[in-house]
Amino acid sequence: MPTARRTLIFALLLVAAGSLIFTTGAAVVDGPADTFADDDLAVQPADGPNGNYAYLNDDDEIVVDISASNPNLGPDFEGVNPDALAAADGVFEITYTADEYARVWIDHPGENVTFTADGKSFEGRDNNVTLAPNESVAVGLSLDARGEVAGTQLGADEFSIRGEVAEPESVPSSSDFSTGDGGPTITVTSPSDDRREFVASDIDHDDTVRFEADGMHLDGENVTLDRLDLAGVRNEHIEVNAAGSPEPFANGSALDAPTTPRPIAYLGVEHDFDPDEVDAMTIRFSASRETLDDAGIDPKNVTLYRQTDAGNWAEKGASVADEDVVRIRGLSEDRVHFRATTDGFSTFAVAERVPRFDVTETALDTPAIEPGEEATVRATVENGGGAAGERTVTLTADGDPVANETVSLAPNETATVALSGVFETAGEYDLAVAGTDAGTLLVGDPAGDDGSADNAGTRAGTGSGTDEGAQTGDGAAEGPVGGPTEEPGAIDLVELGGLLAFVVLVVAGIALVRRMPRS
Amino acid sequence: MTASPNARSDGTTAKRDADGSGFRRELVAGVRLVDLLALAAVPVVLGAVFALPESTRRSLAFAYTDPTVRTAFTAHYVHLDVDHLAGNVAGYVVLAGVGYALAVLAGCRRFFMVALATFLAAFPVVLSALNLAVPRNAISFGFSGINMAFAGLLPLLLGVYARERFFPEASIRALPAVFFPLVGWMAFLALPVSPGSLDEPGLAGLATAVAGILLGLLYASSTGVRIRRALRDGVRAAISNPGYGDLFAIGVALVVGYPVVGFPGDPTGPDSVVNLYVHLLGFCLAFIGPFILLAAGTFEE
Repeated sequence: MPTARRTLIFALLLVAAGSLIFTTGAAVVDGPADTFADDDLAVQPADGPNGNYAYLNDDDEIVVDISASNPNLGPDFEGVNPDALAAADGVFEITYTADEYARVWIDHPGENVTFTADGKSFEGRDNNVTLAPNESVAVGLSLDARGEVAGTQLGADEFSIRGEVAEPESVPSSSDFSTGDGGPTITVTSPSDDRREFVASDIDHDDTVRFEADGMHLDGENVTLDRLDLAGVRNEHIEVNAAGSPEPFANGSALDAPTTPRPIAYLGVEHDFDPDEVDAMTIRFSASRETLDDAGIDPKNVTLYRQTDAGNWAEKGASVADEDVVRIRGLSEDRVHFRATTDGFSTFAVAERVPRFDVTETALDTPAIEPGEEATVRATVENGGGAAGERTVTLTADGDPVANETVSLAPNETATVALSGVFETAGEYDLAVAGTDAGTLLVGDPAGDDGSADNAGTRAGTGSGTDEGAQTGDGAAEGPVGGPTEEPGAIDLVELGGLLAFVVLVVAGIALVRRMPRS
Repeated sequence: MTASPNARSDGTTAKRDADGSGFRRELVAGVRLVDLLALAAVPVVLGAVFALPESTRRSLAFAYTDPTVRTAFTAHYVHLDVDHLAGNVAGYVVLAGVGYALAVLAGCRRFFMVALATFLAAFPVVLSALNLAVPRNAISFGFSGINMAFAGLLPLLLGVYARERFFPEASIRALPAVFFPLVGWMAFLALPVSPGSLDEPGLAGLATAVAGILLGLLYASSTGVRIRRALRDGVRAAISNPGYGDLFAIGVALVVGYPVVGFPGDPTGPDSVVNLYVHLLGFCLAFIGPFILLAAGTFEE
């Protein structure tokens, strides 16, 4: 006779994973997965029956749940019996998707539940598993419900997957040519310091091909190409020619992008395959730390641009290799190592993101002041460049500096600065902020009292000046160039004199009429 | 104004005023020092403002693209050159002087002084604000808008004066019969007949003038005024009343002639355009507002 068994609840939610020491990389995990560590680790339920104990929730977080609340198990699932020992292999899989080697383990504070790999504990750094690129580890569970009361929860609420870059156990050799280990045959030739010819053959479908450029000069030894990794190659044989130059190639144009990056070096990549036959290419390049320091270049501002088929330049970005990675891989610590990923192959430019400050608008508070008074110009400054920066904005009067303000702006950020200066001498001054017209300032009364026409152009300036021409009534007169039209409420003295003469005539006429003899 | 000449113009009065001495005595007796000081303050203020540096004066002008209440007021007291100032001061002296004399002799001095205060204090802001109805990149300044207000007040003062001095049966309510033709006259002056084209006035001024005259005739007939008789009586009153008649004739000549000064056919000058719009506004507002008060009997003394 079936009886209702009292069971234990078991549910863990992976909501955090630490040790984010991986550099970026493309995930190649099929199907949905919980990814972290810059997407270098992917977690997903394992294939097989025990994979039902894990699922991805609405936030794509991995949940291990051995209870009726698991949608894979259904409401009739009764859980784990008290006083039982149980084990389940292959509940979920952790896949390492980057191209280094990684040590991976799980941190979990619970005592009743142990995560296992190959039947052994997988918890704690001492029990780590080393994963090669695209290698996975199947994680299982070991449950100890002895002494537990029915209805209680086993395990903690959360567990963490940890990982770190490992010393490579075996790295494919990358000298002039190599074969090996069932991998592709690779040949690298160096016609000159700034050219490399790569050939790879016997490539398995969707395999990754690694071309070691061994410090090919992009800008002498200051900037070098170190490696090209082509992922997801679907050709058995590929050839790639790379060339570096500190100047634009003859057949290409110089780097030109809206954010005005400063080019550092150029890389040309020619290939014999259809770009669709390769998923992505990772370009590893490095720059002398001394060179960057001398040029005042922050490595974080170094980026990679790719010239599109249309001739435009698109930023692909570049990441700086972590110091630990540099040390573990035995790379030169005198250089800064960069990595950029692209799915197109053409001409590339290593460039520095720089700030670009533009004065987009100016407004003069008062177009006319007295000598000794202060004039204020408000200028809107925009950073249209690709990097944050600081710039001193100067107000000039007839080219002479009057005031300045320093502004710090992030990319695409704008700020309005007020620049004020005292003008002691009467006169007209052409104001400008960082070379942008800010109008004409009239100080005192330089023209005297005898006329205004000479000063008709005085106005409040705006850098984007959109003054419209002004007309009134049937007015056919053009206003002063760039300034408002004067509309005096005036009468003509001569005409007024004519009116007075008319009045006198009327009065005189009346007087004459009065003197006329009347019958 | 339909009555026959006033009974005051009897033989005794006529003999006494044959040389206008009675007129002068009555005028001097009615004038008050405080009024003269108030009237004289305007040219003084205009001159004082003109003494300011040009940069300051320009900052006091009314910029339509950056209007403020302060400049809306101050702009009307600002002049940038001597001719501009002299013309407006002269116009003010003539219009305000004749107007004050008419008011004193018509017994409506209080009406005139209230109008003066209103023109000087409120009209600047009102006129500037109404100028904003036509957006444009321009600056406005000068006293002529206020002067045109005095010109607009003049027909009212003449009406009251004529009623008090010559035609006691005349009705103030008939005065719009003068207003409409005057507006038509101004339109005719400002929009001279030109070959018809889209950017020229063509016959607009003439048409407005004809419309103004027709409206005036219509209004006059509706209020029982016989135009021909009124004109004849007016001329007779002016001729037969030395001093009083002369002042009346001067007032009429200013009412008819001042629009010629205020509405030139070509308002454009070097880098400037005379603001005819503010002239028309000043005239119309100064006629309409005080007329309503007069017709309502607010200033009956």
